[in-house]
Amino acid sequence: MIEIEKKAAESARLLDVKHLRTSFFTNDGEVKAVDDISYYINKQEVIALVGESGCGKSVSQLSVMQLIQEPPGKIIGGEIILNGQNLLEYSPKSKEIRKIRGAKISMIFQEPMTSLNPVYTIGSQLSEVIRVHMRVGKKEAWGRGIKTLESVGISDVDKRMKNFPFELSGGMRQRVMIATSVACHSDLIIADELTTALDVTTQAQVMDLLLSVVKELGTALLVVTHNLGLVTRYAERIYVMYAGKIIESGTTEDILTCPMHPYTIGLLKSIPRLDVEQAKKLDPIAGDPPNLIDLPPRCTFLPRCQYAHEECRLKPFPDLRCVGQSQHCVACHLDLRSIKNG
Amino acid sequence: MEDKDLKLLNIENVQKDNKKKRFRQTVSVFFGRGLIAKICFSIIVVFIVLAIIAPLIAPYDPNIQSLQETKRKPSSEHLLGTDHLGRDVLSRIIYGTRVSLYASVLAGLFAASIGIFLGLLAGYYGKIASLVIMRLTDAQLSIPGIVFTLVLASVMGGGLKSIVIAIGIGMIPTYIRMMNGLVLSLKENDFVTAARLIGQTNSLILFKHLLPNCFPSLIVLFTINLGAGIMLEAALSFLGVGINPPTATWGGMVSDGYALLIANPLLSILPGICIILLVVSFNIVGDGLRDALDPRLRGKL
Amino acid sequence: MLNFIMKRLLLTLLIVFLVSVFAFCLMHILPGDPVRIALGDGVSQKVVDEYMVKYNLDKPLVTQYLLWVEGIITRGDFGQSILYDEDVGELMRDKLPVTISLSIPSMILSVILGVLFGVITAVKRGTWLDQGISFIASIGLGTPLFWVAIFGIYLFGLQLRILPIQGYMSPSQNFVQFLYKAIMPVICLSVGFVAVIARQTRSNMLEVINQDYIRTARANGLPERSVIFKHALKNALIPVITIIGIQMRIIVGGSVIIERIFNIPGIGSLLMRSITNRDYLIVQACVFVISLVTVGLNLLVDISYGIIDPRIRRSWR
Repeated sequence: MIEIEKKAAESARLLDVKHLRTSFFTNDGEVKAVDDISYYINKQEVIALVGESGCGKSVSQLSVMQLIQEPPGKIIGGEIILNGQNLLEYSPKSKEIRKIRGAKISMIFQEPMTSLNPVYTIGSQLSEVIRVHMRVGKKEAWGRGIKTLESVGISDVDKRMKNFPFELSGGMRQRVMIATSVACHSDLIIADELTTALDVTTQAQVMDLLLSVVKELGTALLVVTHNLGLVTRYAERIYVMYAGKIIESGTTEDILTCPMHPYTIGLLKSIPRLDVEQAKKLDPIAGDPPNLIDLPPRCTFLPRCQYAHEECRLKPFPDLRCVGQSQHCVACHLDLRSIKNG
Repeated sequence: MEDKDLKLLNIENVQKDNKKKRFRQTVSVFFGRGLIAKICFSIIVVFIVLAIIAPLIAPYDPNIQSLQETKRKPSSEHLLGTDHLGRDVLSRIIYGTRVSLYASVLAGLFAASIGIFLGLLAGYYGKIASLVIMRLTDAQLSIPGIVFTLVLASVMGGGLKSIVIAIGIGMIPTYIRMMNGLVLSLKENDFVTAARLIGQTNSLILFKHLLPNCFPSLIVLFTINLGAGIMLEAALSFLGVGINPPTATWGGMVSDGYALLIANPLLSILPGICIILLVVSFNIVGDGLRDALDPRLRGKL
Repeated sequence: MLNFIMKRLLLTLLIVFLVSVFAFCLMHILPGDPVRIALGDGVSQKVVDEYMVKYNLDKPLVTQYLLWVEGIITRGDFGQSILYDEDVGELMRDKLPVTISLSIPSMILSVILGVLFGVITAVKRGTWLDQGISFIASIGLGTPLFWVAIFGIYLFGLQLRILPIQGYMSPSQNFVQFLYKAIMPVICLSVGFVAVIARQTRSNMLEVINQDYIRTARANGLPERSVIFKHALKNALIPVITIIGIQMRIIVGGSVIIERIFNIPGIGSLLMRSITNRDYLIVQACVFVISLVTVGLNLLVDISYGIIDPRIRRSWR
């Protein structure tokens, strides 16, 4: 029964990434940016991929989109299954991948200031994408572009379509990027550090817009961020990445109430909170992120772990160990369930 | 007091070590770039050596005419044949190296000293100095290089001195423009403000702080200008405005050989190949230096 | 927009003025007495004096300069050549079109080939195609124009005998002959320019291809050729246009050598002839006109800069 349930659950998945490995081959050695990660996202689900800078979360998403620069990077293993089809069977330049990018899976990037082509108008860039994926004529595409911009809350749309990117603010440009994903009715939107480059008020506005769009259109959403505190509001499930690997995953509630990996515990502890007495100091995680070249075969978090044990030094990298039916999984040799949230 | 002095000494030693380290690093990056850079560097060295030991190596005196041996094809006596006046081609090519290198180095030094100075003034003092200097530069650059140098050299009477000065003046704008740009971007830096705040004079700031920061770019420019100088000198000699006739110059040889193109094409083609070898080598070495000296490009993926 | 053009025009006028002063001074920094040099030594003082008055050489320098400029502006009169008693202005009018008829095709050819090679080497970076073309470009930058011309004459003119080694035909008289005789000169003129443009385009394309908006274009599933030729190229060409303007002088200057070698009756060969004959009035006029052409083309390039980059256009307002 469980097997059938499992299979049924798997086939309901929109995107199923299995054992993805992406490395960059540099003069100094092989940088294992993504070292065997597996995750999935269901239709219409909102999940988060959390980790600090350099942990490989952006690279993993670029790998899914096959936007990795061939030299020096290369996807060296795994499967990326979208609607039953392994995307890695196709080359990055193939028509099939091109059709998926922007249409089935859309990605929105962090830097709104530089993500739009400065010498073409918003309208021409937006309608070009619509024309390519929806196979409609110029006029029709322009009209759809206008409608989409309206739906993301941009006023004075006719004028905006004829503006150049430098005439729009950061928040507005981000809305245009969201509009591009919406216009082609994507099944999945990947938001890569969407709001990091914006001020707090605009951050909130853009996230709210994205969430409402996603809800209305029934699109799945994968949010990549380093800010664990932000995603707890709206993500259903969370994956935590460290040094190229997923070290904990589970529902948001599980992770918040009962974090099992020392890194996750540390992340939660270091979130500034309004409901705690002001005198308390913030508790950052000691140490620096590791160099991704020549990682030792043991647990990569060891140098910074405050719960480190002798066995952690000797054993190889811990496999993901899952607890209970809610699929709360952690890659740690120790069982830290007894340690409560700080 | 003593501790302070010791600390100062330490810093100086560290600075010296840093400079040595940087030099070694630059050299290793430059030569590590690949075979081409090494080959071109060797080519330049070979030509320089040829120029210096020319009298020892050349089989004949390059200016001795021999009316019996004119227009000979390459033979065991004259490895590259003789020209229309019976002069040995190989010897002329070797001696031609002297003229090319001598003229371009002198012109380069001349241009650099005046151009760097004017560029510093224009960039640092701005306003009127900048207006005057940069507009004059623009005006000079609106006259094509060859035309400018040609006219200037011929007006001054031709000959080595005229060529060097003419080519030199022709290259001054490149130094002015580079220095102006560099100084403009550097002078807003904090270390300049700091120097002013502790009361350092303008000339001290210019020469001790700003100028050394420009050295990498200037060295690259100088190298590439050496190539350009050789091309200009050859063009002038070809057109007959250059060094006076008996002296062997590559450009002059190409011009002389033109009449004999059917009989012995080597007379025109060989000196040209020497020019290409030397100029391309200077360009590639210049590019290599630019990559090696620019810290932003080091350690790239 | 008008503001920008006015500013540019004023600047251009200033430069033209400076160049005219330089050109004018040429004749007067000569060692020795220009008139005696022109007329020869055996002429009597009386004849020399007559010439001095006839050509205004007895007046103060500034007056001479103003008279010269006035002549050019009001009558298109560049004066009379001392040696040949020819009207310099007429000479200019005859020879300038010849030079331009070869320079413009050369410029167009260079830009097209240069940009094409630049894009190819950027997109195929690191492959043998890139290394090969880049290597040839390096050589092209270091090859003297006169040698290219002579080599071309040897190979195509004397050995293969498929192209003429000399001469010029006006396009209005016989267009086919014009093309036939123009092939080699135009190609030789273009060699250096193509190399410069290809290099610059390559370097700019490489920079542009790494920009975020190109990543966005690809992430949106646009076809690669659209990404390269529409999104990347337009951005990459902007700095290339500036370079084209600055390096225009290469082509105009190269004309001097090409016209000498191929025996083409343009401004370049007129200049050479006059230098050899020490006919400095013509030299003066030639230098001035050549600079005018360069400056004019540069101005056109600057204006087209604004047409391509919308950010500049906005700042014009």
